[in-house]
Amino acid sequence: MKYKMNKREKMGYIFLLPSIVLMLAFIIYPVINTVYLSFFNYRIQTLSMGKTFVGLNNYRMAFNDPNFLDAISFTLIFTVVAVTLETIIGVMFALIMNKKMPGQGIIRTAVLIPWAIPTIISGLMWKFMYSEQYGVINYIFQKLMIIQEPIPWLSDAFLAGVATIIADVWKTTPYMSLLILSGLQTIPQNLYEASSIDGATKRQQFFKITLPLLKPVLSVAILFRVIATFRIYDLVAALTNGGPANATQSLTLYTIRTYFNFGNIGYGSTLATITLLISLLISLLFLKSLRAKLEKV
Amino acid sequence: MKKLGIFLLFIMLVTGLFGQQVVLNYYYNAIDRSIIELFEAQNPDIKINLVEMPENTNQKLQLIQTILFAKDSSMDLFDADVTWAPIFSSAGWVAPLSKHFSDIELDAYLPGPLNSVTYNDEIWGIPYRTDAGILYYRKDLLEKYNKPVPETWEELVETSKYIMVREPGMKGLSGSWAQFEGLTCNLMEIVWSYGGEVLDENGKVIINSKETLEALKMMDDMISKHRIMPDGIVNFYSGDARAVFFAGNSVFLRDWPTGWLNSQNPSVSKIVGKVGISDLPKGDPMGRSYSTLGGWQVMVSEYSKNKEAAIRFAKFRAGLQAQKIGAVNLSHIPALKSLYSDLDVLAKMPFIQDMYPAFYSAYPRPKSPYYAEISNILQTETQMMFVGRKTPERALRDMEFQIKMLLGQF
Repeated sequence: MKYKMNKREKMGYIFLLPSIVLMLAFIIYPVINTVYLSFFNYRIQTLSMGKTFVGLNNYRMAFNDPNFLDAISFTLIFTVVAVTLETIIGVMFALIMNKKMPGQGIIRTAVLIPWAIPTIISGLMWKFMYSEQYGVINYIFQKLMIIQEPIPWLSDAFLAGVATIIADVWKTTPYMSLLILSGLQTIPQNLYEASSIDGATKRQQFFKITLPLLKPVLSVAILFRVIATFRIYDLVAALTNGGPANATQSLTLYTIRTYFNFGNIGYGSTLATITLLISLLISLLFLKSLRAKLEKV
Repeated sequence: MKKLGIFLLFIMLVTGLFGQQVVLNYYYNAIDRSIIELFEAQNPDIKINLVEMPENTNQKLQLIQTILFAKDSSMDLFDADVTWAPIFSSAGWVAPLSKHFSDIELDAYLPGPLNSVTYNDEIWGIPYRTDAGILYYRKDLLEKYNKPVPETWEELVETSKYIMVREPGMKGLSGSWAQFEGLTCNLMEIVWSYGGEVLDENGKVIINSKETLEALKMMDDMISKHRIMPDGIVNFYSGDARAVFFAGNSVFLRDWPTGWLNSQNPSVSKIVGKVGISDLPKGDPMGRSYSTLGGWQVMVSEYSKNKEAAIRFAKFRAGLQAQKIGAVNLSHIPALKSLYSDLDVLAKMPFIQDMYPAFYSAYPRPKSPYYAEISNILQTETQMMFVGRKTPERALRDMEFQIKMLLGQF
C-alpha cells in the first residue's frame, strides 16, 4: 500500500523548508566546499594559475608543520584544563545557587555577569588587568607584598597559557553552572529526605545521589563546553593574539591566519577540516556515552 | 497599507531624481570628512559612501581579501597598507593605474610610497599618506645627564643604562614588540641598519647572514642582558609602547609620527614639551639610519562597476588638497613632496621639515605576494628568541628555512 502524507504532515515539512534551505546555504555547502578545497594547492597569490589537485598532501604537510602541531597541542591542553576547572567550579556555584538562602537573587546575578560580557570585551579587560605596567593584578599582589617583581602574565610563554585559561574559566563557568543548576532542580527532594532518615551524611548524599543523577546534564554541559573551547578564537585574539612566540596560538587562530591572512586557501581548508573532524569525533564519543547513561536511568 | 504605498512611491521618486548619480563605496582607514564634502561639491555626479574598516590591520586585510576573493562589485575603492600591492596585483584584484598619470604627476610623490605601490612595472594604488619609524627621546633627560642623541644602537643602550641607574623606575627604550606587524617594522629597521636583508632584488632569500644575526642579538640583549626594555615588552602593541613613554617611564620610544600630537597633549602625556624627535640609530657607525616605510594608499577594485569615477576619486583623495587636509587635521604625514614646505602643515607638525630625509628614504619591507606569511615567520621566530625558547642563531636558521620553504627555494 502506498503511504500518503496527510495534510498535517505536509504542512510540517513546508514549515521546515526555510530552515533546510538556510542550513544548505550556510552550513552544508560551505562545509562540503571546504573539504573539497582541502585537497588542492590553491593560493590567492597564484589565483590566475588556478588550483592543482594534491590529494592528501596538505594533510601530510599539516602533521609535519611545527606551527600546526604546537597549535593543536596548545588547544588540546587548553580544552582539557579549562573544561575540567569549569566543571568543578560550575558544580560548586550551582550547589550554592540551588540553596535556599537570603540574597539568592543577588548571588545568582553576580555569578552570571561574566557570561553576559562579550568575549572580546572580557579579553581586553583581562589584558589590562594582567599588564605588567599598569595591571591591577600585579598591583594588588605587590601591595600585599606577595611578590616583589611584577608577574609577566602575558609575556611568559607558560604564564600566557595559564592567563588565557583563567580568563576563559572566569568567562564560561557561569554557563556551566546554569546548566548544572537546571539539572539539580530536577532531582526530587524526597531522595534527600529518605537518605537522611537512613543516616546518610551530606558527603554521601552528594556522591551517591546528586552526582549520579546529575550525570546526563553534566555530559551535555561538558560536551557543549569541550566543542566550544576546542574552537577558541575570540578570547585568544583579544588577549594575546597567539603570542608570545605562538605559545597561545589556538587551532582556529592558526586556521584563520593561514586562510585569510596568508591567503593559503587550500591549506587553510585542510586545517579547518581537521578541526571539524576532531570536533565531530568528540561529539560522537559523548553522544555514545550519553545514550548509554540515559538508557540506564 | 496605503501609508506604505505612499512611502514606497516617495522612495522611488527620490531615487529616480538622483538616478544619474554614481555611488562609490569606499572602504577607508582614516579620513577627514571635509575631503569627501569637497569632492562631492566638485563632482555632483558622484556620491561617496564611506565604509569603515576594522581597527586592526590584519583584520582589514582579511576583510578586503574576502570581498575581492568573492569578486564582490559593491566595493569600488579601498585603503591599502604598503605591503599589499604585490598580494592584490598578483591575484589580479586591483585596477592598474599608470595610464591615468603623467610622469610629472607621479614625480610629485615621494619615491618610497610610490615604490610600494609599484609591482611588475605597473602602479596599483596611489599613496595619500606616508609613515616612517622615528626615535622619540626625552630632551630634558639627555640634557640633564649631558648625553647626545644616540647615533648607534649601542650608544642608545649605553645612554639608557647610564640614565636608568640615576633615575629610579626609568627604562631605556620602548617599542611595539608584540607578535604583530609592528614587530616586523621594529625588527627590520635594526636588521637593515646592521646591513641585513630578507630578500635580494631577485627575490632570493638572503636573510641568514652575520649582519642579521648581529641585529637579532642586539634586540635579544636589549631585553635580557642590558634590561633596558620595559617589563612585558613582548606583549607591547603601539598603544602600550606609547603609554610607558608618555607616562615618563622610558628615555626613548620607537614609534610612528602619529604619536607626536598625543605626546604634546597634557591629558594623555606627562612629558609635554620634553620630547625630541630624531632619526633611528644606526647599526654600523659608518652606515646609514633605516626607517620602515609605512603609510596608506587608495586602490581601485578590478570588480568595481564604476572604475572611471572611482579612479577620479582616487586621484582626488591622494591629491594635494586632500593630503593637506589630512596633514593639518589628522597629522597624516604627506606622501607629496611639496607639502613638506607648506606653512600650514609645518605649523601643525614642525618636525617634518627636519625629518624630511627620513621620510624621503624610508625603506620598504620585503616585497612579495607572500609578504603576510613571511612577516608572520619573522615575528614568531623573533619572539621565540625573546622568550628564550631559541638562541638567536637557531631562530635565524629557522626563519631562513621557513621562508625558503614558503617561496619554494630549496
